[in-house]
Amino acid sequence: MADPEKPLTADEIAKLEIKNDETVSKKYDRQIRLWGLHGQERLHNAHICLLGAGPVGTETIKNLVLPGIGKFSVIDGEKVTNRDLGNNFFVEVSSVGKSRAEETGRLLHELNGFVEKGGFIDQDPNHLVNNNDEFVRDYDVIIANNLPDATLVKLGEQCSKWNKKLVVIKTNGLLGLVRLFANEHRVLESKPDGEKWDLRIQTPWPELQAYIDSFDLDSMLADLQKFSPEFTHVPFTVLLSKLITQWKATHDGKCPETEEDKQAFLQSIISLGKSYSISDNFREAKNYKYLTWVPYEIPYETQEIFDDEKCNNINEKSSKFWLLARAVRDFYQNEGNGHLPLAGNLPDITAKPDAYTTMQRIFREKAEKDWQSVKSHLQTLLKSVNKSPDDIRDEDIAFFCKHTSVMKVFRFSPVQNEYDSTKINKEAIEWWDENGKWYLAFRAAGRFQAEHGRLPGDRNDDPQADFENLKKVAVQLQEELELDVEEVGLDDYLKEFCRFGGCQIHNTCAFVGGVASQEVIKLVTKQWHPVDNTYIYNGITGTSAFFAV
Amino acid sequence: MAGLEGQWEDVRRLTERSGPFAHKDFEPSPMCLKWLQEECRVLCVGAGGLGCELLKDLALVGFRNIDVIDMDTIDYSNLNRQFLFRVADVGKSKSVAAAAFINKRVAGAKVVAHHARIEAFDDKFYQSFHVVVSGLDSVNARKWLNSKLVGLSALSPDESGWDPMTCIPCINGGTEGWKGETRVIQAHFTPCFECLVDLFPKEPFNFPMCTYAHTPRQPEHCIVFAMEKAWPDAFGPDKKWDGDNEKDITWLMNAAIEHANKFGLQGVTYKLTQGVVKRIIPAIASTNAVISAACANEAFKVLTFCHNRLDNFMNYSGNGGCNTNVVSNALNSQCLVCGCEPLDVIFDRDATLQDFIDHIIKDTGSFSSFKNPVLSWPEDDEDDHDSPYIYVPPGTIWHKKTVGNLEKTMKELLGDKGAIVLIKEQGNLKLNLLSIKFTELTAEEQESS
Repeated sequence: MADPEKPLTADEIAKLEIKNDETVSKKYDRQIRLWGLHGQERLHNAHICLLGAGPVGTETIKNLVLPGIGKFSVIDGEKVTNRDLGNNFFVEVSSVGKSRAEETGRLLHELNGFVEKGGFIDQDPNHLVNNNDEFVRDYDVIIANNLPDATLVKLGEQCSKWNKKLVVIKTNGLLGLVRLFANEHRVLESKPDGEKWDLRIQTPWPELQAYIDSFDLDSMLADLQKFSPEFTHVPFTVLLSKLITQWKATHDGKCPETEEDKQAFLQSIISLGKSYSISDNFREAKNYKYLTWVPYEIPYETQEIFDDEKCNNINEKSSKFWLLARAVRDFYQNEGNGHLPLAGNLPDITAKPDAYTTMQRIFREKAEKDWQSVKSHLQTLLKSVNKSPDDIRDEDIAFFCKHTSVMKVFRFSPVQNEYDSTKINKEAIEWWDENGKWYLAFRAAGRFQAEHGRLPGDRNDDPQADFENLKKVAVQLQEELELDVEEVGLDDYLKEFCRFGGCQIHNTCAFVGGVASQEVIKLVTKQWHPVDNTYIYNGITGTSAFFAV
Repeated sequence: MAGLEGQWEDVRRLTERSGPFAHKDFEPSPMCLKWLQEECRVLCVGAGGLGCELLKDLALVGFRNIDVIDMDTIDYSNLNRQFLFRVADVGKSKSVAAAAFINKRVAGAKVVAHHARIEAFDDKFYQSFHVVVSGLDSVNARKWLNSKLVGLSALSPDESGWDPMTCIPCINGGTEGWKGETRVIQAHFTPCFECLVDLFPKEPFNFPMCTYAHTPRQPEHCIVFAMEKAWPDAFGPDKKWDGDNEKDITWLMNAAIEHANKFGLQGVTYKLTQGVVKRIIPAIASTNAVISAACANEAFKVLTFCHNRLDNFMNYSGNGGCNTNVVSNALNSQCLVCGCEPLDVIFDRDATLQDFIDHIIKDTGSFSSFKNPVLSWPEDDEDDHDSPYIYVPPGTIWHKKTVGNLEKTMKELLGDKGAIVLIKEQGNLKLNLLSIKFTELTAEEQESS
């Protein structure tokens, strides 16, 4: 720990303030451990635009400036007032009276000297959206902060047309909402919590079979009497492979099917282990025994990619992703024999180090062989669309192949569709759940705003005086969505919205700002799965809802 | 800056207006915010990843009298999320820098910094707060704070129950990568931290010695070998490496590589070594923002009653989609810190006291906190005993007086039916009741006894 009595010298400070490989690696160490340098590079190349500098927007940007997005811009037409001092961290007392875009932009930018300043523009975002259909082209991601329905519809159309990512954020009292849009968002690095391993226990290839055969269990057991630890370090994959071969030989070539079968198979593991059946490798064999009978299946996300129109129709405009997807599909349908190319990575398995490294080598070699097959399909495809067969690098092919069992393509429904009751995905709205009701309350409040020029309850006298009018538009909305108004029972939710009156409570804004920034990071780094497409946060109960409208 | 007119307009919509979702005891009134700003005292424990966010959140929802405790100084790698600090602050005290920043930025905020350990403060200090918000990162520190706050709780004057005014609410936050949790703890009304300590994620990189020494397969195994074997072999058992010292990390990395080479393993890098040695948990601004906001939100609700509070444990996950999950955990009546029921144990009547104590020490379940247990008789025990203590470990005069008991059988010491005794860990104040029963006698044994 550094000594608080010895602050850094001016020289040391100056060195740390320069953005270079070393300072980036040190400053961003804790996050690079999550998304890697390649993820960090993608952040460095992103330009984010914030429309509306109220607190939920500035909190979102804060969480993007700190980890080092490339550039950000702020567009807002308001002047800073005293009220901003009570909910927005990125204004100070001296900001009052000045442009909110400029003040928040300035105070956000000073968080991280590695980030480039975009434009801090004193303009009403509604005015910008209505008068410049192409402004989104300057940015990669647009963040729409508590904008009215009509603006969101137009903005949605612009983002669809110019292929930009849109993140809509709304906050009212203790309720918050995040809604994402992208035309087509392709993820290879899904990084699911429970990693899936492709161990081919049911279908070993010849080299793997030879490796399995090299373990002579009988002679090991004899040796064990001389205290050799070989037997208790036979990899569980080898144990299961040997047992399933035996099983199939006595069961008509079939894997365990009934519950009885599975119990019997478990018994065979224990019998094989004899008095060593509680050692780590046998314990692992028991835990993973299902790998011997669960049939190999490709995930539905991968099947969706194979069935996609863009995978079928390969042409000059096909992107790298779809060319690779098609090459993998061709492999899958031919040499792959219904298997995806082997990813090649192994979990940690109880084994002797040399047995483990040998197994790693065998898996790596098989993976490389599969990638080579995929590569030749790819080269055929590239030639067919008049491109050079070397257009896609080996490392990109390998990277793609490693992720074929976790890849996913997202096609978000357009934001403008949500505001058209004939196009919104009605079935997705969870109206029976309290947080689905809060979604309806947000939508009703938006309609009220369109009619009255302000949010319900945003008045200094009795806020509940807006309830009747709010209820009117809410009933109309629910009828359009084919919902039974009595069954939904929205009155209390609408009354609470009147109580809130559109107030911006910092904690709600900080929570939603955290979620929104996390989604932007996922969209920009192309890692993990983003919310598809709406997330509701309920700060009263701490619960959430998510659905795809 | 007494008041900038209109500053708190948004918060006042919560405190001066009611609605169907307000807490049943809520009374909308200007007095609510006035009390929050003038009388209320909140303690923020930690000024790091969660702490910076917490201070901002508390200040911007109306709290003014905020104390913050943190014993750390600022590191360059903190700057990707601990946004109250700048490059020029590296090396300085976190609590001091954080307090200064908030006081300068938020009109009305009066944050007081304490560059110290939480253990440096006494009961009177902790009792002076209306709510405690915790952004600590170590399990032990959380346990200490929990123990302290639960220890402050007292029965109501008529002894009919616990006096809620003495049970200071503690809002606990924790994060790791894309995941986090928020809990509302109020001694005897909700589970305390210790009630649920088994749920806490275990420490990573705890490999058995036979793995890392003899059958390593992963670079992490080799690094642990360097830490647990190569280093003490080279420097003796008393010299510990310093995770913040680049030379030490380099030494460990090289020792790990040497070990890895013996087994044909690859992948030991400086970064990986640093990660394992310092048990680095990846950390990002967005998750810290989410969890801190949830914590500050709860602190606000608990004191204003504007809405019901979280009941009582929220888990957050942001990597696959986004979701929160709220669980209403129940109190653990046998909790070592807040529980009122005795811990049960069944033992062999013919075993010795030494056997029993060994059993307690080796236990990894309910008794895992006891490494040097002190056993004594409850005050209201009518039996005539030689001394109030059954056994005291070495270190005091009572050890000599009780060491002879170690050879005696449990039946001899406790009587035929077993007994209820007190157990505590030497050096701690907390006493727990232990109900020791013996295994049922077989018919044969009954006859012969």
